[in-house]
Amino acid sequence: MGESMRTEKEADVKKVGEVDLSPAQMVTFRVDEQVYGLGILDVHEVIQYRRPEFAPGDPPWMLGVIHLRGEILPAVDARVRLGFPQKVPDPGAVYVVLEKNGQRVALLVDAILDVVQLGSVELDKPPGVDREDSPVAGFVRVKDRTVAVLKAEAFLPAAERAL
Amino acid sequence: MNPAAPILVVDDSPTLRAAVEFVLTREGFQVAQAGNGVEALEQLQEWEKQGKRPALIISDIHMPEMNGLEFIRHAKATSSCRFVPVLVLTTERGENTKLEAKRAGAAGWINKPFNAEALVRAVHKLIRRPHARAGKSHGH
Amino acid sequence: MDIDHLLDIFYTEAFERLDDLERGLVQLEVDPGNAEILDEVFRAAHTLKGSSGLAGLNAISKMAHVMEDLLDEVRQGTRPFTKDLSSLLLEATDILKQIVQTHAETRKESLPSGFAPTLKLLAEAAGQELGENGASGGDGDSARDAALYRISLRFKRELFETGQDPLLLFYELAELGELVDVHCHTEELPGLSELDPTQLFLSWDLLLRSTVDEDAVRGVFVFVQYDGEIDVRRVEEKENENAAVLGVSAEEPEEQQTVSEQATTVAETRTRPDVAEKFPRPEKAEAPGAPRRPSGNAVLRTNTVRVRTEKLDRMVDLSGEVAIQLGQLEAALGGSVLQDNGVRALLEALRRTVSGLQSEALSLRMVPVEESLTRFTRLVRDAAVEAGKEVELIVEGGETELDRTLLAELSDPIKHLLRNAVDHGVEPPEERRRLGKPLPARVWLRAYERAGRVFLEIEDDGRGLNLGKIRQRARELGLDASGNKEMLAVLFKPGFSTANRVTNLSGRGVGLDVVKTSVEKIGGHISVFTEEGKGTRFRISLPLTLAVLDGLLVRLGSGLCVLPLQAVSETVAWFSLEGVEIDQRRLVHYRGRFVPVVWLHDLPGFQSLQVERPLVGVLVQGDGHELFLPVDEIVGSQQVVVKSLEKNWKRVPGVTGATVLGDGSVALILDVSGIERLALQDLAPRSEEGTSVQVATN
Repeated sequence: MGESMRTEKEADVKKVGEVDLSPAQMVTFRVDEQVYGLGILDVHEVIQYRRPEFAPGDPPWMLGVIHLRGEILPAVDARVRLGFPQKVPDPGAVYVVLEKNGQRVALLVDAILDVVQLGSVELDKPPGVDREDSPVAGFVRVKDRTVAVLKAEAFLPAAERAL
Repeated sequence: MNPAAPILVVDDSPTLRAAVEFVLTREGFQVAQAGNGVEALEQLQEWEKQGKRPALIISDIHMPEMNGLEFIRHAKATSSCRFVPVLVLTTERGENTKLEAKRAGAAGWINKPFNAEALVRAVHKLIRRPHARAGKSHGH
Repeated sequence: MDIDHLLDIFYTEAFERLDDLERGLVQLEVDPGNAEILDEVFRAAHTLKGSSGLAGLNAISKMAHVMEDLLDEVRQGTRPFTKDLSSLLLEATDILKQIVQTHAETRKESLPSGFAPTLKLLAEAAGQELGENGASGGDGDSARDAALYRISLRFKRELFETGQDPLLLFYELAELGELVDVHCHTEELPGLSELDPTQLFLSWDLLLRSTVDEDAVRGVFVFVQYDGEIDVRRVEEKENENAAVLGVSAEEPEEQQTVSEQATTVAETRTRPDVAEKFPRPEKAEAPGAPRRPSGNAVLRTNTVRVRTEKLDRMVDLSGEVAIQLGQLEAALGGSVLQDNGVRALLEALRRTVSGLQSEALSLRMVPVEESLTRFTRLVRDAAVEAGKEVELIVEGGETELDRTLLAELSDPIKHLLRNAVDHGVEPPEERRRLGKPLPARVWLRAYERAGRVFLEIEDDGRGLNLGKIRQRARELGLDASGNKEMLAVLFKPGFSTANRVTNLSGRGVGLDVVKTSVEKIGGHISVFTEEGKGTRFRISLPLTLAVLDGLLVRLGSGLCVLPLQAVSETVAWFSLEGVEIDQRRLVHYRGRFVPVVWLHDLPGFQSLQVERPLVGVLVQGDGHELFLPVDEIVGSQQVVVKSLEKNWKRVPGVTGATVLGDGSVALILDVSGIERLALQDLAPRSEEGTSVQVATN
């Protein structure tokens, strides 16, 4: 008797929560012990760690700014933004440069993982993660891991644009 | 006449130049553009240095910098363009304008606003069709 | 090239021609005899007529046609240029603008309600009947039996000089039917040694059988009819049997029009004098009509190229990048390499070239404000007419240059302020007469450069702001309006307006909050000066350019910052300054005055810049005050490329942007005026950030 198999539809899950993930590929990375993912279209590139400067102090996840090929990018600490305590960056820490609505933000993560094909079934969100302003859009299962899918907009300093 | 030589369109309206290019490239011609008489003369001089010349010049009369008839006189005075036909674009339908154009050295004229058919017909009166289309029946 | 591309080209061109028309017409009202401008507006209408027809916008073409006719008459001197005519033409221009705009948005030529009546008025003015656009008829190919046409061709010798080739005529004839007989006359051909291949010695007689009518056949020769004797006549079949084709027709050849030596009647547009010099007239041409009265105030067209602004910005970015990379290269080269004189010299030369490249790229962004400012003349004129006032706009300082992006952003704020000046600032004529104030009332639009910033002023000599009313309204709104400063600051609050009348143009009056927002968005600052009974002046100060600036690099704690050199007055050893505290404010006594001290790390957002042991105090000049900024050390001075913080982040008060230094590290570029506002904000009772006001007292 074969194992009971859940129908694993590869590359069919395009939307998670309200995040549109077509094409169904994600860039995954680790923050603390959890694996997170961003839709591949939202990720511009991944760059080496460099020290951000001019931390404004508020909001607490703003690390300051970094420079990338002539452009100034705000650096956001994914740890703090996702509710983890801040810490000195690991040796493997990198910035995931995400781009949304014409803005670019460098997201500091603990380690970069793979680019994965989205498969399988969307999982229910555990309680507490369902809030509007939560950066997590939902969860998917990839291979044998649970990946929390992030909304790129949640990391943009858009709301803070002073008039 | 080299069929690959371009037709030079001189007019200060980019729309008109674009429309002429649109129509004539469909007929298989190459088209070069100039926005006024001065630019056009410079282009002709440039070509002359390379031993080239246009197959046909289409020019407006009322243009900034240098008026059209003046330009035509100069163009025809250029040695390379002595036998190059010039088509004048004009909105004036009077005989006087046509005579003026003729006197300045133009071969013919098209009335503005023109339609594509009239333009093509006028061009075919003055230069041979590109080889690619030779022998094709001309349905208007 | 597809139809959308064609339309895009048309839209761009149409708006430009319509702008030319508008600008020219307004100028002509003041200077009606100006030949250059008359030419320009005539040509604008002419070109617009042509291209709109091509693009399929026939209504526009129709209206432009009548406008062109009217303008042609004015140009030729057969019609006077009256204010009425001008108003009518301006009205028409507006309508045409609307049509183009709508078409650009909807691809439909929808006509605003004013179109038909205006067109009617234009036609009446021109004394024309509004008929259908007389399109040249096509060939009337009536199906008929084939007929025979005898064609005789006797061209002039110099036919080739017109560029025409008889062979093509034969091809064309062949398409119409069957060339039954062709005879070529070679009698005139000279011997080979005397033959001039550039001349035509041949003539022809042809017989064409065709179903097309005679006009169609003649149509083949429409161009060459002036270049020789062309005879086309229909013959009956039986006639053919008798007369040989060889013979010349016995009847009189029709009178052909030959090119005569009459004087030209086509009023030619003028060739620019410097162009005429460059291309001297070839000998055989005749002179055109007498040149018209040259004028001093010509609207000069310079040699220009149209370039998309994105390309310009890219150029500026790239040239900045080169500068940065050069710096990085220098940093990467080891000390020993840099000792080499040869290498140093090369780097120096490279640096100079890069610097030159940057300045040039930069200057591409700068435009003189002249052209934009004169555009507003029309606006003021219309606003005055609508409000029933007599107002004159005086534009000063048009040569002042401004970054083009800034200029684009300023358009709306300036419009607002001008409308306000006309609607609310300036008194109606009767009142002005009573008060003994000059008529027309004056509104100034002034631009000038000072201390590294560009200033734009909108001033009127009207009634000034009614402080009493403002105070009252502020009280109604529950806003603090104790002192003059606060009260005027309140003016810039959203929704604030003391206007009784609602006008078309300025709506509920002020909209100053929007103006303030727009100005600050581009790094500018607005202030207002007013005197009751005398007038009001709004002053907008702007950074000269966004892209590059000369800066003083300073270290504060672990971070580096750049102070714009223009704002820096002096640098002084910190320990030599005598500190004083007055009203809880730190000051230093310097050269006979007290200057406030600002520790940057005390200001919100700058806490990462902890100055540890200040060695130097930098004396900087803000908008109204001087400040001493203590820093750890002066690192040097250099030209830096300004990078936007706002693009990816937000506007940070006290900062105009950031720059990337040679080693790749980021330095903030400090905005001294912003720092001044942040720091001295708590000096006086709460005043609105971004506003400074002065009231002239009696």
